[in-house]
Amino acid sequence: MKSLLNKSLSQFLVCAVIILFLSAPLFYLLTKYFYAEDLINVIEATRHGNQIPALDLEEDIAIGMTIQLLLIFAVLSCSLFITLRFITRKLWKPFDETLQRTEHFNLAQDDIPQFPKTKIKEFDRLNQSLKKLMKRDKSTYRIQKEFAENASHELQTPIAITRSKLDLLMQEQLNERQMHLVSSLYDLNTRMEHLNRNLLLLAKIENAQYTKMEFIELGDFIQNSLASYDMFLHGLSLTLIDGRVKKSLIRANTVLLSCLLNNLIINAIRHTVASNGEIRINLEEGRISISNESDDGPLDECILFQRFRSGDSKLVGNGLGLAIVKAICDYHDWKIQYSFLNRRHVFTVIFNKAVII
Amino acid sequence: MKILIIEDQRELSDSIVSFLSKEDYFCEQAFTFSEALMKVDIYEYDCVLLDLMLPGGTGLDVLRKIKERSPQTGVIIVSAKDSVEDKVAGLKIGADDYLAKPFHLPELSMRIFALLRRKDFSNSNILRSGPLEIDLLSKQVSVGEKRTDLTKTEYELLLFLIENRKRVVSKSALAEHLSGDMADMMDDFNFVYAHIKNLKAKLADAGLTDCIKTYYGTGYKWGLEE
Repeated sequence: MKSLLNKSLSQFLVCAVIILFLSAPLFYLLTKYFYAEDLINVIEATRHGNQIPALDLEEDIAIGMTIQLLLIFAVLSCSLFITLRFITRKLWKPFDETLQRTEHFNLAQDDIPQFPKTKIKEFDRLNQSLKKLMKRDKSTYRIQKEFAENASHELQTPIAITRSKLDLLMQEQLNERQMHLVSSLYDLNTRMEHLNRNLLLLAKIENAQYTKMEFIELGDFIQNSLASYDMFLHGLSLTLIDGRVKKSLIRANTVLLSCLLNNLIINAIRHTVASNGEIRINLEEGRISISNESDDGPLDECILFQRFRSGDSKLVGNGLGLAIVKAICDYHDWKIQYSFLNRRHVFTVIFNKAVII
Repeated sequence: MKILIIEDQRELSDSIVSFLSKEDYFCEQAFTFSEALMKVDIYEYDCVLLDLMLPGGTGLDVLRKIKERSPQTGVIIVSAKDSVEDKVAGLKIGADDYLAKPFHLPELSMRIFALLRRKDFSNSNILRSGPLEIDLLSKQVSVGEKRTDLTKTEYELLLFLIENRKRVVSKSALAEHLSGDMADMMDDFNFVYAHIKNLKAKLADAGLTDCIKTYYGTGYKWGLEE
């Protein structure tokens, strides 16, 4: 195993020597036809008893030197170019591959990548430490993931037991004060359960556990579920306005899609103050918006989709509804937008790949 | 009626037994996988409540055993694992119903009731309470000879209350029963109150006054005797 510096130096030297040997004939010819030319002419003339020819020693030296310099420069450039261009590229190839595999590494999905074997010390060290780092990240991630899920599962048991005891307590002959106490315990129990279930849902979305994707016609999908909101309406109206020219399919997980719609619609119902207000579902090409009337001003968009955001407590149920909406949108690579238009809160989901049929 | 409760959480299991004891059910308990396997192997039950996560094994194996030994036994899967896969796997093997933890005991009681009614062919599809008659197939409600038109929500409410007739049912249990999948998004149960009010008014119109007793606005009980 060699260090990067030694390896590249020795490769450059080898390359330079090879090119020097290859260019040796050139130097020979140069010497012969410029420096030695006059000498050869003088020898020839003396041997044949001729007159010594005119000598152009000065000129030869000048031209010879220039050619020599150019030749040396060319040889050096050549060897440098070849080393840098081909040999160095080969030298850095394992590094490049390591980089590529690291770039494409996804903590949530992939296994730890197999890095290419290398004889260079530094790259080997890099690969080893990357491997170690990824392994540690992966196990931390797994522990965290499992923790969120396990914690939720574990919490479900005491919540279930508490609930069953409340159901039993309800059967006793309770007076009004006791009944109200039980009732508030019920509320707390329910809130705990919903929080817990929503946290579990978020964890599952983030762990990408909803892998089953289907093509869904949104208009039909909503039409079929409209009736299930009836019991929450109490005089409010819920209308679906389909402004699309053609039907179109979106690719989504049905469980998550109905969760997203439920959250937005129930939210809209809950925050409609007017007793005869209208909740509108507008379906357009590649997008859907759900809106409700409001007497208040616009909401703060920056914190709207955060978990457990503080602020106006009457605006949210348990502080997770919109965070779930956001997570579902992110999961499908959709966009969620909020706007305040004509005294209406409008939540718009923009689908990225609507397939028109 | 013999019921086996397979649930590793002793406290929850005891609560269920205590709640169901008001009916003519004979409840037995199993707390571990091996105990459950042994009991379903030796005895025959009308209904089994089955938790999928058991110490020592998976409830799905117990379910297979039950289906192999006595296919007519009704099985309700009760599990904290409320994932779709478990539900599908359980129903595929032959479970009759699925209830996600945490649940309300009146909900469980109603499911058992419905299951046993479905299993018992001699039983008619008419549910009676005093002059009130519910045709479970056509979902028609009538008092005496007169038909009463109820909305789907009101019908569900009425059925839930009648099937839990000896018990006080909390507003929270009713809300969960009605809202199903959407329960997670609702934090107040006032919508139940409005539907109860409408149901009471419709029943009063049909001549049944005071058939739903309200306990300080938080609990409800079906008040008509047989």
